[in-house]
Amino acid sequence: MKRLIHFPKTTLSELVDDFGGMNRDDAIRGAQRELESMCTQADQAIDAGIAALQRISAAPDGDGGHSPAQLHEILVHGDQIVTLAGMFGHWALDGAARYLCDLTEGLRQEGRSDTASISVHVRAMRLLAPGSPPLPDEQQKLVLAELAKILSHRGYSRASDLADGAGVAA
Amino acid sequence: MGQPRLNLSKVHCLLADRDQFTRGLIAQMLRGFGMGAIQVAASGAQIRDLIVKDRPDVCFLEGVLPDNEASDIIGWIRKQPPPMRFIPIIVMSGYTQLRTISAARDSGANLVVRKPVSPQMLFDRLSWVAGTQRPFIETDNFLGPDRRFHDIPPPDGRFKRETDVAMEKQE
Repeated sequence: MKRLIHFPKTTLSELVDDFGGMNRDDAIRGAQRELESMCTQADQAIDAGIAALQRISAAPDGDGGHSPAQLHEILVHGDQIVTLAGMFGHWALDGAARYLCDLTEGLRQEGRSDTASISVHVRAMRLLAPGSPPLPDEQQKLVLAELAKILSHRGYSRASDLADGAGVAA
Repeated sequence: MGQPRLNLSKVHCLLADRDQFTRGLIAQMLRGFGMGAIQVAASGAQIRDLIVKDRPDVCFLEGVLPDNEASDIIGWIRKQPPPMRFIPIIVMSGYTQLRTISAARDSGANLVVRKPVSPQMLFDRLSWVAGTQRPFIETDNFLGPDRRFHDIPPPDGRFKRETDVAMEKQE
């Protein structure tokens, strides 16, 4: 079997060593400032994503439930909400969106649909979204615990468990 | 020992994510780090064009794009003539894309991280990729940076294959 080993010096490693630049704390502070300036827009994007999920959830167009194309759309919106909720510290919404993604992926893989379960997840996400009346932490945890039961009942795996198994940084 | 210091002012990066708002967020973070030039792409076709035309110094790719998976694009980059094939590539996997990460890793990514990414995580991973000299392995079925981290593991010691862990235990 052919096996070559190269020792390339990349332009990235050369450029970052130039005089000047930022130390870690300054760079992170700078990035956090930039992120904070986008907080309102992020909340709007989350709101739009949940609204899109509500529309899909309310209008299944498949044979007896959501079509594969709709399940794919749910995954795309759910994925975006996980990213934004995680970046801006909406931990409960992040959790609910992950449960929705795991449920939808499980249904997609089995070629099934479960309109009621999807609808419950989307309603929970609206409840936990920024802009909704704030819930005490205990009640948010209770909502997440109930969503966990649905996934557990179905026996679907969690994407995060698969990533942990593959050793990918969280 | 002092903090790691990075000068990104002359670094040109390519950032690809299918979602416009997420692209904007990550680009803002990179600007906060002082990144000099950031080009954005939303599809595999755009990435290929920009890589050939502009030769970025580092790429951030989402795990799945509308027309390609990151693993396909990385495979293509790693088959280009040097020095293009050696471009450091960091894959950012969305939650629903975590099922495809093994493919991204085995196609020759330098690192795979999960979204959401925080400024701390992004800076530490970028710093590690820039500062760690890893041999580039070329075999019949793999082209990419050596996936065995004998000396300097990634910031949290992850991104290992199970067989790497087994190999280290034997040594």
